[in-house]
Amino acid sequence: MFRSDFIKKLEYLSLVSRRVFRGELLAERKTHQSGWGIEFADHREYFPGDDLRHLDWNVFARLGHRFIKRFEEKQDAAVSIFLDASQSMQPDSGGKGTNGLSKFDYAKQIAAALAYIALAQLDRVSIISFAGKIEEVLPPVRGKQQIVNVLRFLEHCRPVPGETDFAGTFRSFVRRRPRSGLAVIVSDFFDRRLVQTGIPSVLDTLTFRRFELNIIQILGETEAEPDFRGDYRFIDAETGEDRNITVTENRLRRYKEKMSGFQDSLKNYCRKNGFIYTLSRTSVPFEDLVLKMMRQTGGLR
Amino acid sequence: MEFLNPSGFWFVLLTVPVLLFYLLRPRRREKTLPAVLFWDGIAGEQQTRMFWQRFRYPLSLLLSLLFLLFLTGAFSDPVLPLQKRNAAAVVIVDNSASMNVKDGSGRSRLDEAKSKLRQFFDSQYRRSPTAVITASGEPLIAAGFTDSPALLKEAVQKIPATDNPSSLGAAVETAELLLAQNDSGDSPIFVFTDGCSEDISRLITSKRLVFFPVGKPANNTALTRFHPRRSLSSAAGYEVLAEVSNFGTLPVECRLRIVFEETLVELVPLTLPPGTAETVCVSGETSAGGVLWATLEFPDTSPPDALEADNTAYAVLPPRPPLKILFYGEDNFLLQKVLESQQNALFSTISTLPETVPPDSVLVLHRIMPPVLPEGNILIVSPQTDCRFFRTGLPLATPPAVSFADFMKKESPLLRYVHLDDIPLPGARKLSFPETGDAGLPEILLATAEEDPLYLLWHRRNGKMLVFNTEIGTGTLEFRTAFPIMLSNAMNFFRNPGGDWEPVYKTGEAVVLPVDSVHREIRLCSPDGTEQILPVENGTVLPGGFSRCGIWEAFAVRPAPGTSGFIRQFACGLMNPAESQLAAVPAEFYTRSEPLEYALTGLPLHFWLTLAALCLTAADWHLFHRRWLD
Repeated sequence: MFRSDFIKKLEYLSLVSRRVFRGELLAERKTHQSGWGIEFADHREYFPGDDLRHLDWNVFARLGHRFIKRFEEKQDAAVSIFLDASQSMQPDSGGKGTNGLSKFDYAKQIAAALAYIALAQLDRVSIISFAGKIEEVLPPVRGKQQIVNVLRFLEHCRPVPGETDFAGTFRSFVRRRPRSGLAVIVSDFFDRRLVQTGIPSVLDTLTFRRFELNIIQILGETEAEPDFRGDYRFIDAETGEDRNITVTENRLRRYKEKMSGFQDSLKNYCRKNGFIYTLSRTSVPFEDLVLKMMRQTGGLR
Repeated sequence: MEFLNPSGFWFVLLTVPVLLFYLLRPRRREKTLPAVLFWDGIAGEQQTRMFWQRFRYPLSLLLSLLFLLFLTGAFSDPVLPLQKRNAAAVVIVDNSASMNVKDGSGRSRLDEAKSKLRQFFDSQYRRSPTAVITASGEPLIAAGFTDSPALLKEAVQKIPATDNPSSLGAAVETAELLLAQNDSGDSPIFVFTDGCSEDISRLITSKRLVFFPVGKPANNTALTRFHPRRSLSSAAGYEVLAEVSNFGTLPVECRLRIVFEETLVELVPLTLPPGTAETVCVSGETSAGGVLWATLEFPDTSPPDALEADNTAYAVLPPRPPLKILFYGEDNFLLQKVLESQQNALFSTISTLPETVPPDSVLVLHRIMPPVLPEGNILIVSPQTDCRFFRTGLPLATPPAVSFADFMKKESPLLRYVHLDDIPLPGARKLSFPETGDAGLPEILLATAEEDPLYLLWHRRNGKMLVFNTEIGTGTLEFRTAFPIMLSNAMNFFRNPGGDWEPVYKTGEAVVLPVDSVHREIRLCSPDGTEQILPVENGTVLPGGFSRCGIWEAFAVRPAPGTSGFIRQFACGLMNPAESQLAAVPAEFYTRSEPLEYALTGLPLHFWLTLAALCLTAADWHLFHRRWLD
């Protein structure tokens, strides 16, 4: 899926999380917890029952007082990658980019790259494929060697029929009581409820569970810059609804205004809550997105 | 409206495919989108409930149908009534006095009418033979029937401005006569006028007349009467009657200035409410004669006066040479003193009777009377001998008493201002008249109760003869008071029998001018300097009428060496209320709009229809492109 030099570059990246999560296993992510680690933090007075291995014998020899050495503990973080597998991500609906990738293929590559970065950081990575509901789930995996499972899972993912339902997906996800952490959502966000009821009412389901969001919105070329004019019967890829529209310049302009307004509302939500928002088109080379755009937006470091 | 190519209406069948084009809809291309939610709210196709709602782009359809309609009209070659080629047509141009009213830019109504006429001739698409008639004074044919616009325009350009009253009615009759002679009795008559005419109320109801209104109602004050006459009380006096009328809708303050030969006679301030007139009488004296003229002067605060021609009026006062009184007979102090005191008279006593009394003289015989009376004017006072007109008898026994009621011709100018009632006239003799001979019977002006004549008048072939049958100087005080008055009446009677002078001629009126028969032709000069040579027949000249206000002068065509050949002057004025009533034009005259054809500027109707169709095409093209933008 990836070239070797690209993989090497990925190993130097890490997913940015502005919050510090409490992990379970030692890993590469700093925590506020003191414990077993390499980096010295400070001393504290010895209390009976403390592990004598951490007693600072040098201090005890010089001063006669017993102090315990404390170290910074690095733990792993839970990274949940939500992959939109609705019909709107299908190859024939949004148009393909210049690299010949559909939105779904593009989204899978992003998910794979982010999963690799997280695994390289010894974080726990799970991938949730969803449309109207959660379709498939890759349970949390850890360690770089698990990338094979991740890729196999992504290879196995296919767009499924049904209307995108972020709210239902997130509700069923949180009912599973997952570990809070970083939630990466890779989608076009074409959800009627999201547009109609507002973004906070949907995404707050995750934020209330102390998830930090990293939103990656992917648009096809024909969605961002429609290049057709004339009489059309538009058919919704997810619902099958149709609209008879005579596409004129003015109507195109109004369409773009609505689309831009939706993107702005998504961006504003993220900025307000300190989340990462990255907008990309399928025409943007995937490597540029990961190595440049996501670093610029602060999603990767 | 007529259509010269009715088969052009078949083009209307093209409406069917046009309707079909707008009814049929092309199959829409289907396109699957990730989501259509962002297209919601952006105008889509509306649901059609009615049949007509199934048509696409109704505005374009309307334009296309109009395009077809205009194109069909253009192919059928429509012709408006006035564009139809008639056998003949007549244009009447009003060049009366009111057409000299100028608008704010200094252009007269006649100039405006000429401008409209030029445009009118250009607007004639299918030109008919057209004649031009002027409608002031006597209608004149300015141009005979011709279809050449150049000739018609040239003829119109030469139409002069006049001060004549409008003669629209006569001009229309002339036009109808001309058209009837050309077998085009139903052809229209085009009238370019300002509507200031006595006939306008009758003419605007005629459907045959096509009016082109010129000018607008305006305020005007005019001298509507100016009439001089000889003073009845003074031999050298004159009286003039002037009437000033305000025909406007605003009150006017002005001054009437009356001038006689550069000398101010009277300056009368006038205040005239709207629609009123004021009369002014002024008197003066002159025996030399001259030009008397009156003019209206308006202060700056007064409403503007539209017409100038009626603000001035002229009169020519004839010269009155002194009457030569030749006294012959016994002296009488009273009689001679009364004769000497006569105004504008030269008294002289003669000892030898002339054979003929000159025309500007009167012979006064007192008591002595030759057997054969000379030719001319004679006054005989207290006759004592016979003549061939009467025989004198014995003195009347008793002083005759005059009964004013029964025996006095009080209507005679010879007895004006005199009341001789029961006043004795001593010294009268009984007079008898021969029944044979050519002397004729006298007109008895005064007689006694027994019908004995006291004051008699003979109208002779070469003069008049008055006989006063009483003694002068022996009567009562009443008689001696009345006698000078009677003698003054007698002298005025010998000068001229009446008090009226030659009238002030009105413009446009047919006049007969008295001119001395020694002239075969005269040169008549108008106030604006134009001249015309007219023949003299039987002591009269027939100029047809004066067309300009002011003083006209007659000159001999071949004057004697060293002289100007001046003969005499004639005064002429407008004095026509119909021309001066610039604000009294019926409102419906202005509401009759000018015909549509006039606005087409000479181009055929199918040209304008085609042009309109092209404009619609451009509009449809614009809509077509706008559809892809909107």
